[in-house]
Amino acid sequence: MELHTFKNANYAFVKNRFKFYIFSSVFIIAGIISMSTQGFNYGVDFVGGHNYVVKFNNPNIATDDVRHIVDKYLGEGNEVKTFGTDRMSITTKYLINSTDANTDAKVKEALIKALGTNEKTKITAANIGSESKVDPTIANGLKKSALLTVIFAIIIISAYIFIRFRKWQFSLGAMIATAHDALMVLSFFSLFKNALPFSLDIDQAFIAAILTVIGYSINDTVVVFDRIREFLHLHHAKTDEPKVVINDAINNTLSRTVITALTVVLILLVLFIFGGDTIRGFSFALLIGVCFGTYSSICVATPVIIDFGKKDLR
Amino acid sequence: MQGKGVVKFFAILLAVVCIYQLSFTWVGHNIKKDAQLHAKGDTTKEKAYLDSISTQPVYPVFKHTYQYVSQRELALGLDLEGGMSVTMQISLDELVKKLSNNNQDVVFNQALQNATAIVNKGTVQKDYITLFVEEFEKLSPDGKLAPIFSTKDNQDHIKFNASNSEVESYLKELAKVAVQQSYTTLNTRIDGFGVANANISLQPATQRILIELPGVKDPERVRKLLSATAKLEFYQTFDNRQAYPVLNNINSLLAAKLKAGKKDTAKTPAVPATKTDTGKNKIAAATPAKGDTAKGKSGQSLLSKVQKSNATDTSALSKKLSLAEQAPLFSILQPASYTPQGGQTQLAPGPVVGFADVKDTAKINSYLHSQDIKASMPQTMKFLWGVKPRDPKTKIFELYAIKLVGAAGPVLAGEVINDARQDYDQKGSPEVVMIMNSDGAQKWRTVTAEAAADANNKQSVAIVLDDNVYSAPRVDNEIAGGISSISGNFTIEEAKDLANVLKAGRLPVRTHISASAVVGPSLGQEAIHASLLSCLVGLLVVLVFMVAYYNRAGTVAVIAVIVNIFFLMGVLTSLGAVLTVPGVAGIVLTLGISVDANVLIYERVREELALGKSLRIAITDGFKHALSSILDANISTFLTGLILYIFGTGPIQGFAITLMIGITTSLFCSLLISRIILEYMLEKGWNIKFSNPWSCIPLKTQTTPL
Repeated sequence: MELHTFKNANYAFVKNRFKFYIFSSVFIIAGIISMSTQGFNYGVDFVGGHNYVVKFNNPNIATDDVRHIVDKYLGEGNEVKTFGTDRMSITTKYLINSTDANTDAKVKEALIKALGTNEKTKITAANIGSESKVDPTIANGLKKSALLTVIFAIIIISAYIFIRFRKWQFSLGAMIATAHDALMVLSFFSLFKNALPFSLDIDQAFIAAILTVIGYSINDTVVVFDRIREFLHLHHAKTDEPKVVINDAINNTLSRTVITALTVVLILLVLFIFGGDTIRGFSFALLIGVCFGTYSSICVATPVIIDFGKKDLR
Repeated sequence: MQGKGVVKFFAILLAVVCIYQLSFTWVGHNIKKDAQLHAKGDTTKEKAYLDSISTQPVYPVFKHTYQYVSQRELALGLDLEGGMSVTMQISLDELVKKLSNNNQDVVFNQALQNATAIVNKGTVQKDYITLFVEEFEKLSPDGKLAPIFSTKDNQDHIKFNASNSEVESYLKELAKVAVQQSYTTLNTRIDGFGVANANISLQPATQRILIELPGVKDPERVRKLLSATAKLEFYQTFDNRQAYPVLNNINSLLAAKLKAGKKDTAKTPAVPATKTDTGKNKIAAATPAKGDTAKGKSGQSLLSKVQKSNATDTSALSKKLSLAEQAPLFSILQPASYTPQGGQTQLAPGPVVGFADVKDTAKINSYLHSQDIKASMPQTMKFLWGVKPRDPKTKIFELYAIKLVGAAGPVLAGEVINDARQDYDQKGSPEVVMIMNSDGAQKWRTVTAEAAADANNKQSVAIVLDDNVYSAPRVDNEIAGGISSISGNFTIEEAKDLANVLKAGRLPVRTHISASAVVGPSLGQEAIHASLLSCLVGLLVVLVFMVAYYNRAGTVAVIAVIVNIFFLMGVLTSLGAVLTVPGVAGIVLTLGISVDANVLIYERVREELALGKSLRIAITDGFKHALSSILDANISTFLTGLILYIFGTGPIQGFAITLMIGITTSLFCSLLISRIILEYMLEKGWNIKFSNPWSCIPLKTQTTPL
């Protein structure tokens, strides 16, 4: 039996490109609206505050109950999230601007005391699995430097593509693809921030994930670009029509694109399922990022060249 | 393929180096296992065992010591091993203020405040000095900085007419020195703390120091150790009998003020009374021997009154309230006194002037530090609290009367300490012994000689650390040799840390902990198991897929990928990189990239085969044609890694390092090693299949109709 799916691939990616553009645009616009209205769930790296991972003795406590108790004693603005199966992550801004040396101990004490007011949530220091503190200063700096890093990465990679391919259309295609992937993942994390059973936090690891996705996506895109360049240089090419050449290049590399994506997705799936709570958000960002990256290099980055290029790409 | 010999040589060399590097981790792991078996769960015993063999040769053949081995193990990051990470922020505003000799210029102080606010917001990536100068020039476009900074201390460097940019570069230079000094000091403190694989890095642009301490289980101790400014000072003291009148005066001043406040009108005679009182008392304090008589008596009577009422009825709230009105200070600060058998209550000798419950100390401080009270006190006197309660069971703290000498105040400061170590005093409790340099020893001798001069009235010298009195021993004889000691109910660990801090010297500027994270080792254990397991499972799944899809060629790819992991780990270990959870993710991603390179090549070889080329030519062409794709793809990913490494912090950098090394080794393995294996198979005349029946489809080049 033969498997025709990839080998005789002949899908009209270029012809249907506007549908892909529309899909991506709608998703990203919805994402941007969501980002500006409901924003993100920021991890403690970005908000600033004291964060504790607490394992309650009583497994049947709702996060809302815990939040009410903590809000009552430590002031508003606390975040309580489930962390893994049997723990909760509590972030509080209590005393966050104090530079007193004992602040950390005070906050911890205050939290234990606050939780101790209710019989159900009573804990001791031994229930706190890990704690961390981030100044708002650091958090702000991190947000800014993360954004700069992403923008810088996109620029550098576009410059590299320009040097290698000598055509600004390729550079632009790569730039759009990478920006597209970053925006898609961000949109996803904003749109579905409370819809999934695990936390979609924006933290340092998320930035690493976004950058990996950009790297992966560019990897994918470049392979297709490379094939286009090769086809354009073939003297016996049947046609010069960019639309045909590009669609052929996409279909020709489709087998490789899908197999690579499949292997990476396999690894990431395993990491996502078995990797533990600490890196679940991270591996999820990578997972959807790789899917978006594969989609963008096939359906967005390459067709874009046509819409910006002239008749002849040689 | 050209240069096959060179590739083989390098592959073997790299393999040997990697085996050697990874062997340390293996040996170290075995020793730790032995230690665990030996200790049977007792962590102190385990640590003692490891300490005992740290200088013993444990590595076979080469006879490396355990210490050597453990330094070369593949270090695990905090998230995997558990431990603590701390970010210290160095505050430069204090330094700038100090350099200006606390200039009161409004614009200057406003500029400082603005610059601090901007830094605290963290949105601008400029250093503090630049921001400060910018803010200053914004506030006063024609303002000159030189007059503010050309103080007596700086006048050699800053002329009165120096330009702002000259001042700026001078400030920057000093800031750099201060930051560097803070870094060195913290480094020394951490060294003394004795943590293996501690990682300290300086971020000069933002004046931050990042510290990672794997395996640390006592975060409070670390916080104390790092944030201690360790301002050690030696002070002369006032005797209680000299200080009491001052306190008494403060007490009556406060009472008068309270009364005035109660009457609610400003025209009470309290104000002039206060003034005369102040004046009198200044004389009294300055010449205590003379002025003591009358005042002392009234004081004494009040003292006994306070004590009586304290002793007789404490539960009577109303009485106490009226007492608080009558004697605001003495109702919460009990004067240091004793009652000899059958005699009258007398003031106790020595520098301790009073006792107070810990809950009242803040109130007493606010009394003592208020402007008008300060004005009433002799300028050479200040009050400091003892560091620990006088009795560990109660929360009663002692208040000391400190005598300031000269402009600075202390007679001797911590800079003279050459060396410090933890020791035990005569009673067997831990203390810190300090050894001064020759200059300090000379001064210390003079100071102690002076204190012990009057045989009938030997003075005390207070040893003050960060404005807390650790001890104030009475000096019986002059002390030569420059040795002194601090005792104060220390635990051994506290004494060790204090000695360590004193030896490292004080931090030149205020440095506070701006972020810290403690990762519970249990969480770490969980994380390490989960991520290792997922790595292995992920690898297995992919390898099975490769063999299934590419048949025999797939096994070659599997070998290449496994060799790649091996090289990657070897290189990581030899570079002393620290493996973190994002690092593990980086390795997983590298696996994907490594597989991708093989997929690219094999897909290409299949295409070449489909064009009807012979196996040998198809392999050669396949590699040739896939090369540019692989290189371009990997170089762009590598560039991403590089940007991550340059701009990222902590965990992101760990990820970037693994990614970059992974890409390099993966290129080596997929382009060269798998090529060598394939060519070897060709030479042996094996039939290399690039597909299994289910994945084998001849390729037809097609033109898409549009």
